[in-house]
Amino acid sequence: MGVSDKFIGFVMLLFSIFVFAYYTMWVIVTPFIVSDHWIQQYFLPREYGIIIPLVLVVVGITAIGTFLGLVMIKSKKNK
Amino acid sequence: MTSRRGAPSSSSTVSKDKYTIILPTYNEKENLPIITWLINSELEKNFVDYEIIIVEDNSPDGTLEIAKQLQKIYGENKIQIISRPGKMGLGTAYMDGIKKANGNWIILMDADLSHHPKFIPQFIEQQKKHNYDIVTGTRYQFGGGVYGWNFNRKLTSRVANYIASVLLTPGVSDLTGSFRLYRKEVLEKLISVNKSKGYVFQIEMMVRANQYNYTIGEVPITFVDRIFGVSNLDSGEIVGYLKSVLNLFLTI
Repeated sequence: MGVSDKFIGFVMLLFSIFVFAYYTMWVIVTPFIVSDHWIQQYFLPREYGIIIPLVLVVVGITAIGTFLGLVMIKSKKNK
Repeated sequence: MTSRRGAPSSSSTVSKDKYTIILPTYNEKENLPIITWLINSELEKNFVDYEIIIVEDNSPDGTLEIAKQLQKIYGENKIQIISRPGKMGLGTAYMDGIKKANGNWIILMDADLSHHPKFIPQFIEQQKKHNYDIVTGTRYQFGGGVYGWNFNRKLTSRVANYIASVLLTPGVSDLTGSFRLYRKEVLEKLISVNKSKGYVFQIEMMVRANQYNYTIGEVPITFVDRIFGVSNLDSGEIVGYLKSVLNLFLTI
């Protein structure tokens, strides 16, 4: 059980590093690279660099808020 | 015992240290003899002067009887029993234990074998090395860990610890841990100002300790959760925890 948990953790770590590196490259490095360079095709149009995190944050907060709300309602009903 | 026993504990090399282990019990009929034996063997091996105070909350499974038998085996100077009418909470259990304690150090731990007494000599050694007021066991530093939890439970624990850490910056890596060594006066002070229950009780101990500038050391420990059955957190507990942490954040 411990080995597979370590594996899941490792995968999560790798994924986070990848996302961090990609996002950093995207936002900080690509603006300085000539627009017809071959590497630019691996990155989405730059507006998405703002839109995607924004959407994730909104969805995340909504989900957490809904979860908290549901639990609080359930506990009030039980009292 | 020499007559120097009356000297204050701060006069270093002369007076001896005695360690009181407070064990709150509820339905620990099977675990109690095992943990007593482990404490005895680990501490005798390291020449530690100790006593155990069992705070029994009127368990329906007869834990009190077992405690009394253990007292006959190990002697009344090694085991004291405080029998209480029912479950009255951890804070009051510790308070009652402290009142009867003959040691100048108090060790708090779980009686259900999730904490192994073999770490106690390590706590003591760490405390002596740096003259800490408090030494806490940590599951989250290298060498420490948890056995018997599934991935979700471990993740929940880590996230909960992280949230509390960020809000309260306690300076220790494991906030909700309950395997700790305290100077007796320090513990008395901390419990008297502690207003929380459950997990947050342990968190508030660390936060208050920081507030009063007590020095805290850490020792990696392994937490072994119930071998039988799964200990799950329900969502109500999670929200309760978050509310208490937020409350602590706002009132400190």
